[in-house]
Amino acid sequence: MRLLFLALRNLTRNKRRTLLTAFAVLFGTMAIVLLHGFVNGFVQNNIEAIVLSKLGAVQVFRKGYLGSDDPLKKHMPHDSSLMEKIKQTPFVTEVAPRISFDGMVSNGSESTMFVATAIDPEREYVVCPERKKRVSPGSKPLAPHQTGKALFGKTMAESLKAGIGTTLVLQAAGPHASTNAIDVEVAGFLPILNVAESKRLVTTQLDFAQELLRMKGQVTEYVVGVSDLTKIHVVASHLRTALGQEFQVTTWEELDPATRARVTSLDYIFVFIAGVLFLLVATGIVNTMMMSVYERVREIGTMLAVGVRRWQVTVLFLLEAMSLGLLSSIVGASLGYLFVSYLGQRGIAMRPPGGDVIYTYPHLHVSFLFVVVGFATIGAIVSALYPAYKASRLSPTDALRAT
Amino acid sequence: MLRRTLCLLLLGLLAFPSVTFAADPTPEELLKRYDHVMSPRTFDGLMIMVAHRQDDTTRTYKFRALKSQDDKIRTWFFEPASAKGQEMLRVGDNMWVYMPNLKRALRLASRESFQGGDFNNADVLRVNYVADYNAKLIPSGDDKLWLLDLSAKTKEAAYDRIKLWLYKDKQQPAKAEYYAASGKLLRSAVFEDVKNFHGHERPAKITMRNELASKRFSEMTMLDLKLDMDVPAQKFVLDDLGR
Repeated sequence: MRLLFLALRNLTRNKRRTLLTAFAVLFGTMAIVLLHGFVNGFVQNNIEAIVLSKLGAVQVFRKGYLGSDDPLKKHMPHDSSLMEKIKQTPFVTEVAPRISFDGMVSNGSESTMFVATAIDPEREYVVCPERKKRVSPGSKPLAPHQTGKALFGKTMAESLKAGIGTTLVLQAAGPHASTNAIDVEVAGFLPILNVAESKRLVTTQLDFAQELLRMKGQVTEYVVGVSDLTKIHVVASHLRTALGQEFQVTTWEELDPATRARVTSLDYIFVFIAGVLFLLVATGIVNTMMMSVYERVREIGTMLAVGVRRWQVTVLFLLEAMSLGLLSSIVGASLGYLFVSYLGQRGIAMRPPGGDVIYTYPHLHVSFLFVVVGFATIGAIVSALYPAYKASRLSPTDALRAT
Repeated sequence: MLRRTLCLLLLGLLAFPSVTFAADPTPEELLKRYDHVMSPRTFDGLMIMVAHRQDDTTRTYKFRALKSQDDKIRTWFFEPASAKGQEMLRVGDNMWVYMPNLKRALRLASRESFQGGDFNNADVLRVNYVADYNAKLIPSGDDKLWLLDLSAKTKEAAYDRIKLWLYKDKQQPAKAEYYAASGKLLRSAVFEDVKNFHGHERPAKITMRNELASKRFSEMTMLDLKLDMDVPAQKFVLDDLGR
């Protein structure tokens, strides 16, 4: 206890140097906390954009659907007992049936290609909650229990001169050869996240697609919502055994390896930058402690001469480094947390070229702060090991004679 | 007595038109006739398709089509430069397009548009209405025309329903309307300019309008047509594409 008090007092002796080192630790930890918040925000954005608004966590297809020449032929029954069976799997929140198809949409004088996803809104919004929010400002998401309506990519709607309430014709062919065409009402617009997608994307109701494609009682995909996204592989392998050979079960990571790679590379980048910052700060601490050992050679000699134990000298220096690391990292981490919470409230607006604004919300779990403070403190102690050892190894007679 | 004569008279009146009908061809015969006129069993033809697109530009395709038996047909494209070297092959229910730059054949669906125009692949490569449709004669409202009401009898048929008008005199097609299962009119065709190609009479020009996108239409013109030649079976094998 006396040593700790002494260590704290020693820190105040060269205030300028202590402050400089403290600021280095403070900024280092703050930067790491901020970066972590941003990375979390970006990862969340990616997950929301891909998993929670489009792909869903886990998908079930008829075997051979993916990569098929004519995927609509690989349909499966729209069967509540099958959905119930999938829903029994641990961690599964809901099962949503879908049909993906493509065709031509026309306004009477012009037509263009579309790629559509037909959904059962009630179940879909549990599995992909973000889909409900992914509509252009002023548009409403598709509601359950209404048919003959669709959401169109804004760019496509504009090129067809269609507003909300306009009737367009969707033309598509089902698993059989002949083409069908049915009127559809524009219920709203999908936001422009990507210009190429916005030219093509349509979301409509499942029963409408079943009528258009003449696929009554059939779907092409079951999307499985999973309560904990780290458990997707458990759910997928469980479903594989439960459903058998006839079906193919995939996870979002398999369907979109690019997003998965983006998410993992963000983690790598974070670890790399955090490592570099950590090393810089640690070098600073080693330097400070070395300086203070060299400055205090005579003092250490005196301490040893009056009977202070060598281990006590070591501990004294370690305590100095520890208090420096602990105090400044607590301040740094708290400042970083305040910053992240503020930005997390406000959101950072970004506008992709030609698209609608996307907000990123940095956020982090409080436990990360303890990790950062712990790392900074232990790092400071480790950095001080060598200087402290050097100090304790001084010979009192030489030290006293030093100038 | 008077009542009896009246009855006979009425019967006679009823019987009279049925006598004139008896001379009419059956719907099946008319359909067979259409298939024969538009797509004889074996032919070698040179055609041009002009696709009018919604941005008011046009694109012209020149190609040769070779047919053997009822369900084998192959095409070679010469124009435009972007389609040069492409080939299509239909055997039964399967269709492929050979892409010279890929050196590979890709599968085609009969409902897909033929080279991005307003005909679909089936309209060009699968003209076999006898096999794909059930026909009924219905009143056309025009003395010069017969009207056939065709409904798909196989799942591979390209349309759910077709209304087909034929001229009574030469039994040449006049126009057609193609409907979706929902009853919506998808396309309409007009057949014009009947020409004699080496003894075979057929309309030299078909104009296909996209009824859902009225700015779009395509014109198919037959430049030359030869019939009943010897065609080696080897030409209708997937591996022969690109050779």
